[in-house]
Amino acid sequence: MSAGAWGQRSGGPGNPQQLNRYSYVLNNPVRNVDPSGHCSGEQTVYKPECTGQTYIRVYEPIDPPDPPKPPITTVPGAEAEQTATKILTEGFVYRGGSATVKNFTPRPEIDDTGLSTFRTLEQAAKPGEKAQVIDIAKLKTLEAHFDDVPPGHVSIRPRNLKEIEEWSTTREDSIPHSYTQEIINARIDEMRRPK
Amino acid sequence: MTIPPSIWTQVWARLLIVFQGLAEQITQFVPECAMKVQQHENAVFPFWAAATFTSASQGGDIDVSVQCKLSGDRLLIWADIARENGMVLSESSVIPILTESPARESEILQAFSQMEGYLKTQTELIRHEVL
Repeated sequence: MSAGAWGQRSGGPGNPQQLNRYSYVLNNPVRNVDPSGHCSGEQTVYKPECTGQTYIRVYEPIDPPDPPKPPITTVPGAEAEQTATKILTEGFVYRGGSATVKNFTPRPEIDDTGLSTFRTLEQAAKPGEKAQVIDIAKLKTLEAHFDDVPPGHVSIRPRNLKEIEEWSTTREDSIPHSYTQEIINARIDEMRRPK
Repeated sequence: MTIPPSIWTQVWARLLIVFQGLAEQITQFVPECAMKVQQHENAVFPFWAAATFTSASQGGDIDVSVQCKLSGDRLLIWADIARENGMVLSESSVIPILTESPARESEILQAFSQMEGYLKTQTELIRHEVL
């Protein structure tokens, strides 16, 4: 079989770069290496041992069979909560939109994990849009949970998740809810993503 | 640097008049348009205010924001018009004021006068967006 009949695919599940079938180790061969060398070769269609956290290199035909899906690990109860999110205690997050009570309050029946924010301006705002920068360290009763779904997503929420619903009902109120006020107090900047 | 709170009281009172004027003009063309105003402050932003225009037929809000931010030895004052998702439709120039300037209070009032002038020119844009 000719070399032209095979392509390389790099990146992990959910990584946009996986869409580029011709890139290699996230374009960063220094950081992401293939120490075993077992993942090379025209005839390799899929090798599970090559699907590490930072490295996937798969050779496959242009019309390959569906590769086997990696196993999904589920952890029950509170342990799953800790696995799925990481509580951030410092750093900034970005909330797209204006610095208003409405925008700093979760939407009822939609934002059930809290107020949606992101780790970067690019994730929070499209070109031409502005975002509010919130200093996580200034939060007092709210917590910032980095769940990374979608990428970079951080939910700002009360420790008691049952309070999110009540908080969200105050979105149209003129007087901010105490949690909304906490975010207003933690606002440190406004940025606009260039067009 | 301590700016007398009375400055912000004056600024807010004047902005309210401008916001109300905008609402009156817009509701002549879009009667169902509603406006909500709010004013906040914190350690970084000694003052910011917003008027949110909502039209039942359009669904999305338009936020008119006026901001004063403390940045180093300066106060930065600016205003903009943005959609609910943050898309900036129009923005004023940013006016810097030295916080230690002896004339800073009059300069702040002058800067907000310029913001008021800017906002008064935005009626057509807001009306178009809430239609």
